[in-house]
Amino acid sequence: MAKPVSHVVTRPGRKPGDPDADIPIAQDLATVPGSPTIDGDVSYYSREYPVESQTVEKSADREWGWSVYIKEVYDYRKKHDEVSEPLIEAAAVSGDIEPDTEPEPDNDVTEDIRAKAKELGFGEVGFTRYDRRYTYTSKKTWAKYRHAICLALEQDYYQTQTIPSLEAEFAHFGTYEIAGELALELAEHIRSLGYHAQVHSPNDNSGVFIPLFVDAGLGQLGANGQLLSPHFGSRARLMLITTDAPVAYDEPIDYGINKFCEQCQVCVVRCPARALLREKVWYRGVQKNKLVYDRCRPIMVTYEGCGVCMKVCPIQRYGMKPVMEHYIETGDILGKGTPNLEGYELRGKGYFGPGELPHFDREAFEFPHGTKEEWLFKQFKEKVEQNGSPDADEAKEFAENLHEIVEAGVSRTDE
Amino acid sequence: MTVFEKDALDAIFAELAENHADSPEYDQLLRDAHLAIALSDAGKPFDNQVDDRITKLIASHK
Repeated sequence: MAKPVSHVVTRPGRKPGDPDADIPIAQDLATVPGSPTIDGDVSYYSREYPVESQTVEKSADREWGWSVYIKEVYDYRKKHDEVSEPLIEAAAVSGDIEPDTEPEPDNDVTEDIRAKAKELGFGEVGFTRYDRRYTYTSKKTWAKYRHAICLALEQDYYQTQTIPSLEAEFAHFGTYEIAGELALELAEHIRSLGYHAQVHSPNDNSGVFIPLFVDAGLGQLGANGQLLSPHFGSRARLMLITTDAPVAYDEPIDYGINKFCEQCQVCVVRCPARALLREKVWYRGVQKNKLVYDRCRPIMVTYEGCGVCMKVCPIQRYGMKPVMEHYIETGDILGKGTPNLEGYELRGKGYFGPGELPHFDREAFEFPHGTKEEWLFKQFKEKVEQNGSPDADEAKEFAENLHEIVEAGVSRTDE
Repeated sequence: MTVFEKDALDAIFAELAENHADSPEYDQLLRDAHLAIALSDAGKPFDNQVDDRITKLIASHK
């Protein structure tokens, strides 16, 4: 017997010209628009324990990653960095560029900007307050303007289904490269309307973006820790432009994802690293599934960015509408338990169908933790504990290594 | 319920690529193929949700 419907969400079609999509949400999946949140807790944690980029806080493993990549990934990532560099530099100063003209008084430019963003190719576009509680500490003084334009660019469907693979990494980083260019063009358009526009490069993240996308009604947070949007699921790359243009904000939407993921759990059971947790927790004021970084990171680095949690998400694979319709009709999760949705191959490990997971030795999960200087100090301390006082050469080597890290300073916050 | 196993899936997608990889419709056909396989695995009709070419392709591999 069909499940009762709580409400129907109507969203624009996937491509320009496509009809609107009516997505029915089952009564037993309805919770709240956006994410379950305790606003005071979000404020408290952002004040007392401000967020920082993993590239800054976990710089030791970011550097270690380069030594683990297979050659093809290493070469491609180097090339990606070269391509991204001018985009990052252009984005870094974009907020300081003055508009080309005076704005027209009382002219709401929201739909103009949305239409331009869609014309450029962004699949999902939304507007919300730029919530600085999610801005990285290292970007607090850089980020300008009160309004956020949330921009999602779909990454290639075919390549995404080949995860984990070099092909999928082309899609992953290639989409960021395209998004970075398109956003610079959109920023120019906003300036032509008389307003400032600051591009938050997707290759040099300024903060945690997903909460803003959720607030802008573009999706909800999935159990895989990714934004699940109506047409792409998690197969989209996210970025922001902030502006002083007086835009009208969109509202968060209940797509039923908060409960759907509790029923589905495909990403949780298929994660090769066993890094996703079944139960939600309250974290920094938001109820969500948290992944175990120390399990995810080494497998991600070793196996071409992994991404199995993205690939096996039924919303990513089939889109939200057929998945929700199937759930209402049958109470089942479309594709769950089938080789087509759940099967994947890991280089050197073979094929894993539903119910099968790869085995990794304990050593596979050993990698440097914290910042580079923390990791350097930890190693030095262990050496002292084992061997007693360092000799002059060892002390000098430690000091030189530390100096090198300090000199390098905080670099980009990519990935 | 019998579902498509890996060998059958590989054959379906190989045939799809062989016949349509150069077509601008390939992306949509690929999406349709995944949806059709999921519906077929669930024992449900396609109800005009997928391209006719995909309906035939899936039927030929059942």
